[in-house]
Amino acid sequence: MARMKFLADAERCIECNGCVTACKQENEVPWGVNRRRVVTVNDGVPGERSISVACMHCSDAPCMAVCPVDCFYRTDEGVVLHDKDLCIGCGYCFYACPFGAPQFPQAGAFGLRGKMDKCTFCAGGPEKDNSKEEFAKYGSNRLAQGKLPACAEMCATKALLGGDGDVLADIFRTRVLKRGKGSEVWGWGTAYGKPDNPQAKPPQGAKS
Amino acid sequence: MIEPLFESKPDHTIMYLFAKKLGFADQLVGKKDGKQNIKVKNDEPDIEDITREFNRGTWTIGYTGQSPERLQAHMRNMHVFDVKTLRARGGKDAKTGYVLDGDYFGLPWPCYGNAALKHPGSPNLYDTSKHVMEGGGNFRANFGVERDGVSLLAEDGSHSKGADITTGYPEIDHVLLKKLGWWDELTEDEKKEAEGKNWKTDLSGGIQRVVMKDHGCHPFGNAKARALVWNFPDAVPLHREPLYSPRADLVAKYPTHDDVKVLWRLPTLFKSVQEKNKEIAKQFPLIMTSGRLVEYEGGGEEQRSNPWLAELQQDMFVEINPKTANDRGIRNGEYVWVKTPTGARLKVVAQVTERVGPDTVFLPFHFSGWWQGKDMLPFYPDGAAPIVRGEAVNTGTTYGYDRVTMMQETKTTVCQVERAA
Amino acid sequence: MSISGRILLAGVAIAFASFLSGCGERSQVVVYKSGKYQGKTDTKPWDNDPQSAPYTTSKWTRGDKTSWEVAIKARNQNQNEYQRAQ
Repeated sequence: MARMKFLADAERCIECNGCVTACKQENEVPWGVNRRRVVTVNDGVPGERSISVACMHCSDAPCMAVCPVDCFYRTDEGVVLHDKDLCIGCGYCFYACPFGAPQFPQAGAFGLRGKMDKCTFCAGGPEKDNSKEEFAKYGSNRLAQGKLPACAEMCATKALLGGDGDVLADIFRTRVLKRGKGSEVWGWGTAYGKPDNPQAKPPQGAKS
Repeated sequence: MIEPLFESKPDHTIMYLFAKKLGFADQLVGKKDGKQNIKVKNDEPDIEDITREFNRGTWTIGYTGQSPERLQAHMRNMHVFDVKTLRARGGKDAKTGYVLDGDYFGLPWPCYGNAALKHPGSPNLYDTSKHVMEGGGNFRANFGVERDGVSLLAEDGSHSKGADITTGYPEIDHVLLKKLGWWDELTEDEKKEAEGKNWKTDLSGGIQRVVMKDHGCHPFGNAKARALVWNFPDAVPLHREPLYSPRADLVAKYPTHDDVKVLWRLPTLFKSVQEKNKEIAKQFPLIMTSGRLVEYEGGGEEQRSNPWLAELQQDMFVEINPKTANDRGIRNGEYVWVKTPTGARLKVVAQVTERVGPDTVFLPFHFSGWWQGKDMLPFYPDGAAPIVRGEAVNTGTTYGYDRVTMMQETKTTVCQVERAA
Repeated sequence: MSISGRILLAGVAIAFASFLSGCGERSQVVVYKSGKYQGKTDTKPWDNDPQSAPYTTSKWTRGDKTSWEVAIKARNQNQNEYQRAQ
């Protein structure tokens, strides 16, 4: 049984925000609502890493547990979705979520909180698939078109993977076996190959 | 093909309209003595005639094989091209009967000879592992055959695959062709045209055909790449301090070029500007670099007009080291003034980060729409203003040109940063 | 019974019925059962016609979950450059 997952590879992410833009474009997400974002830690110092974060579609989702109106459901593929007609925009899910995934469109002068919006794994919501209503409320339904989330499919470095968890695990295992991990990934050897003669020294005394 | 949007016009129509306005439209389309090379319809010069025109005039650089007929056959038969090698695997154009086999898609430059030679285009330059008629080639003999007694031609055995001449050789002309004994491979008509010419001036294309097709050699010769560019001011690149240098001692040690009275028709200052600004670092101690953000391109006008991309960077900023910022009383996210020797002042947001060293600040070059602290929004035509606007970094960059290419210095200068009160 | 009497009776009956329906008015507020999703049901992705999907190469049989999963797994390999580089 397919269980949909995202996997972000911090060794590969170049913080290009391609996933963010792909998501916004695919789902026509309004300004200020960030279903996906790129988070950079240790910015500008050695060890800087970036990672793309959205709803992780938890198996035991805290948002589901705290929602007072039980508007969340989990599909057969393990995607956590919600019914915007039920949502009251209280924001409990935002407090509960470890990833900051739930977003609330701000409307009006008093910053009134609208209905919650979050990553749908490009699986739409509880409306007729690929209908106008579904797109307006939840965005694109790529799963119903036999496609995977736009962010992962458009990722240039394939730092962000999205799809069946088993397949992603296979892809990532091959990747780590081939390239190593952590410090092994970087450095002279990776960029230029191993030196032919590691003992060789640069010529001395030659000055330009 | 994408039709130009709104009231935009195709490039060649714009060129024709300009030529008309400036009074040389007839020359542009080759209209003379009742004949006309390039047809014009509704002010749009015929694109196929334009292509034939540059096919005729670009023998030296290999823009001659890309005839409109060949290119159209490629567009009609995209499916026969391999997506990895870009090479046609078989295929015959149903409309013209043109055989596509072996062509690279779109006939990548350079594509030598006339269309009848059927050079496939060159997917890579200088690929000696392929025959010249398969898109291979070698370095061009473009700088003479010897310098200071050293041969500039390729060493023996270095040649493109299948070449009949396995040593270095100069570019081919009628004399060399006769010496090689290949002259009689030209047709009688070609001989008439090629007599007294070299491969670049033989408009019959016969020399190129014989040399490439019959003998696998390159008409432009076979030489070595040169590392010593004796016709440049520095034959080997030397370090020279920029005109606005942060270090007076380095200006003394690595001075720039002398002023040039006529450089590409213009007087160009080098040393006098540098001398005048030797001590500029006292006033402007920081190096200001500018560059690209991965999500934006060029001036950023397009990206900042697109809500999804504009949202990513909503303020023009300056990256500044924590030490530099602290010494100036600047906090992350505050407005600062970046001042440069031109007298320009840029009002930007400080991003305090260790991405830059304490002696350097970085500004992205994708912003415009502010001028020295003022939003120029009222001056945009209705609906034309980008969603996000900010100071353009080149408001602050200073005078300077590359001595060889005349590329202007718009990437770096010196500056001072202070907190905007 | 005269015709007018019948009309009167029918009128009374209609009035009575509409009066009763006022008593049966349902609550305007949804009653939630805690811990249970009560929103609209969603369609399964494989219950869509693959022909109706634009710009995709994925093929599956409508209503067949396994064939959809196979199609998705095949598409997933587009994210595996070790596979794509071969």
